[in-house]
Amino acid sequence: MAFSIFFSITVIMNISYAVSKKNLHLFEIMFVWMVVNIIHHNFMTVFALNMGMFDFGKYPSQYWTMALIRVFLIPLLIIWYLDKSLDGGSTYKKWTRLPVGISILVGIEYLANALNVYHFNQWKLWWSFAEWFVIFLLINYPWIWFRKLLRKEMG
Amino acid sequence: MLPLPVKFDQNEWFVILNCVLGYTWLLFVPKRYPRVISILVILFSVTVAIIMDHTIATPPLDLYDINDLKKYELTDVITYFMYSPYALLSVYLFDKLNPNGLYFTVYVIVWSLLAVCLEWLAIFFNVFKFHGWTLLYSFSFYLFVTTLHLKFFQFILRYSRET
Repeated sequence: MAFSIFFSITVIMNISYAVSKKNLHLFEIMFVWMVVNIIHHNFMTVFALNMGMFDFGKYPSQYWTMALIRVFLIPLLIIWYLDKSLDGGSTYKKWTRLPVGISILVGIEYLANALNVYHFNQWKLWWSFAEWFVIFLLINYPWIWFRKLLRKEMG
Repeated sequence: MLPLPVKFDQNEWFVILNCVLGYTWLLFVPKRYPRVISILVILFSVTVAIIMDHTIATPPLDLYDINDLKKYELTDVITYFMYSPYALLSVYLFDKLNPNGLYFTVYVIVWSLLAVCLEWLAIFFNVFKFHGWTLLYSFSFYLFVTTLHLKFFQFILRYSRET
């Protein structure tokens, strides 16, 4: 059931983003997708394997659901957020949208926990908010650097 | 959070020397395409390695261990950059030689075999410890990933020239 739910969410999100007006260059989308994958996989493995805060599900369906979430759904949501942050408005306004973006990602994380995709061990809600805030920071600055380089090299 | 190696020995040296020596060829070759292309190529190889390792080398599958510890250690992070110089070299030569038709298949097979050789060396130097995974699985995986990698490069290069 969890796989069907997350697969449906991922497909709906993908279609919606594909047909919406985009502010990001295709190379930026690829860059952010790969950087999110690298950072998020590292975070999850450190939390699960080194700190024992997560238990990954033992059944293949749980495992592939987790792979679907972290390879496609989470990067897509972050790409969408960064894309929307270019819509206009002040930097202050962009930063005020951040709690909304983070709350959505925390919601996905807790939904995955509720549907037994993985299990939290001694996990606290505010850690999720801190985790996603740090991930956003780690993605934001390389993305800005890449964006500048892209403009310089390709106009 | 990221433990240091138990002992700084052959596997750590293998990974570090591979990364350092692997990138030196870049200093001696003329630039053929924008840096953003190279960055995407490096990221692609690292991302594929991370997705693969964090999916099948961690519990419950746990088909192999990387470096000294069962846990995720600092050297593991550097290990992901070990393949990138070869990924860059493969696309650089691909752009230069432009293998078409059956030569493309030959090119993919040759690079997959080279990747398996590198992995065999990595096993020899205790970077990877297989339990349930074999070099034959790696070869079939490299065939798929090398093709994907070259097609990805071809696509972004064409896209950058058209836009």
